[in-house]
Amino acid sequence: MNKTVSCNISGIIFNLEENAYATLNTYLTNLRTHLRNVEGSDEIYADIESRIAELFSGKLGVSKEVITEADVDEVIRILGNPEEYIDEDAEESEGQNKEKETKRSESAKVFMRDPDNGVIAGVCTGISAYFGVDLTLVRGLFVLLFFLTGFGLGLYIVLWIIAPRANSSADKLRMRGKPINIDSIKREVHEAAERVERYSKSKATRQKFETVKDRTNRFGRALGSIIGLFLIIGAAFGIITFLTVTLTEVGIFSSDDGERLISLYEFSDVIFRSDFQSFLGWTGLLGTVLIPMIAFIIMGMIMLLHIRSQWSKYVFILLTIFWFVSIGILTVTGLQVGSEFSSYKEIDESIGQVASSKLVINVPEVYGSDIGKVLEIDDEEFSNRIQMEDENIKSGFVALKFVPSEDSLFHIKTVKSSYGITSKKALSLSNNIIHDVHLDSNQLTVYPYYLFPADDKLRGQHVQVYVAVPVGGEIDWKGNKKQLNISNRSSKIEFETRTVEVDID
Amino acid sequence: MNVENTKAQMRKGILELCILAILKNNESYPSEIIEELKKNKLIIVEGTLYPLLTRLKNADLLSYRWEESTSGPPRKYYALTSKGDQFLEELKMTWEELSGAVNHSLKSTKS
Repeated sequence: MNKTVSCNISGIIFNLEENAYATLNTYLTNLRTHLRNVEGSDEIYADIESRIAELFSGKLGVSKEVITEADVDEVIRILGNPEEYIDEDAEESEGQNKEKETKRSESAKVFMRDPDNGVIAGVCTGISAYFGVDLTLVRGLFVLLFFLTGFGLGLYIVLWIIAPRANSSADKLRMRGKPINIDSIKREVHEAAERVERYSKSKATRQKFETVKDRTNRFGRALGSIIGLFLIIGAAFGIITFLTVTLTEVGIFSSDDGERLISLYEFSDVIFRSDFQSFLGWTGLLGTVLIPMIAFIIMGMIMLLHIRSQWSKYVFILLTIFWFVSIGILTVTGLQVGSEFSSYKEIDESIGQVASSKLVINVPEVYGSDIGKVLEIDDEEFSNRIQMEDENIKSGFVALKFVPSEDSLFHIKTVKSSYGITSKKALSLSNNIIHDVHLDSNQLTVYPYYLFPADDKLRGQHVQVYVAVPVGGEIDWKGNKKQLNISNRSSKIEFETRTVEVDID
Repeated sequence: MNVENTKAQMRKGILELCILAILKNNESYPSEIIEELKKNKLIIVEGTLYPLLTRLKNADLLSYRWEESTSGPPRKYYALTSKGDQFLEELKMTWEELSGAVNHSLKSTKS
């Protein structure tokens, strides 16, 4: 049993079997396409249709009411395929010019984009077709261009705008520079039909929603690609920035020769108590920051290239586990390091007193007039001079503070302080600080740096020099006072009843 | 060089002449013309005829009239116009010259 389709050919109703109808329809479509450039095409088409009706009429009789595929095949055999009679005809009839034009349009490649087979707008597909290069390679190159320069994005948009869209089968053949004749179009149509058939077979039950689904899928795919691309770009940027800050020499601390900057990685050496702790800290930090980035990149790749696979699920589960482990490690290490700062101790050390009305503070030239790079935190400026000197850490954060004197003398003392895991540890770390400050009559020499053993690590060791100024006391400067961290912002030192002018600028 | 192709080219060249010649004696509709041409193996596929007829008609060499048919759609009956008649005469002369020349050259190569 076969379903029939009833159709009107040249004013006569015929009943055609379904596949007979399909064959005839293809034939007539091919004919129409082929007649496009021929003068009087409508008339020729009508004549041929009329002839088909005539031939069909001859086939039918009392015992035969339906046109079968065999009948259609026979009619086509009698009439011949369009390329057998029209191509040659057109060439001859239209003369030299037309002939040339036809030939050019047959062989010349045209750059067009093909959104039906593309991811976003089919630009890569167009390039691939035009140059005959593998599509995956073209896409890969574009993604690479996005990464390296961002130039790829501009190029893509420009090509999107300038390239015409390939709408018909003929256009798609022209993209590849294939000769356009009925045969090749037929092949193309046939291939497309096969694709559709395969698709509908695999989703036979969902056939109804096919077109709607197709459209939403298409939109979803394009959107997915764009989001995917942004994920990849963003994550790549994040990784590069993070690695630059941590591993390269854009560190914030200069080394002892003053030339090279210490990276955060090297700096971590003076923070962590042991190599093992350092290892844990870095593992935790890298894992916490990089794993999400890697996840974003994988997600982006999946969205961009529309990969559908089972393994991605397990990859994400694994990454999530690693991520939580990293966060755990980082937290534990952080707490450990933090506990090293839980106690605070300071040691006061009196340097002496001066009876003169004038105190000369000499700051030996260590760093030169160039005070180095300044790190600004909450409007406070710090010289960023932490250096490694042999087995010692050399720090340039010596602070000088003027306070009112309770009597008529200048009093000078230093306060060395440090944090530690216990008070005892903090005290011993404070004791380990070496700071050169000495008093010679009214000459106070304050070195702008202090040292402590590298093995002590950075535990907030700090040196402050207190100068108690009597009423009417005068301060003179020698050397470069800018090397010190003078905490008095104003030149006035408040006494209980009066103020004293101190030249600290 | 494809011999089929060459044959088709040769046939096609004289097809117009033959159609005009057939229509000179009596007006016919395409199927009749096709019958005639097929008898003489001048045509392989019927499709060839229709564009040719349309072109000859557009060149005012042919005219046609509609006639109802008992067994199918209405038919176009083609006839020669006076211009077509002249054209046919000219083609005939050319053909005679050509065929004479061709036959002659074929014979002379044979001997």
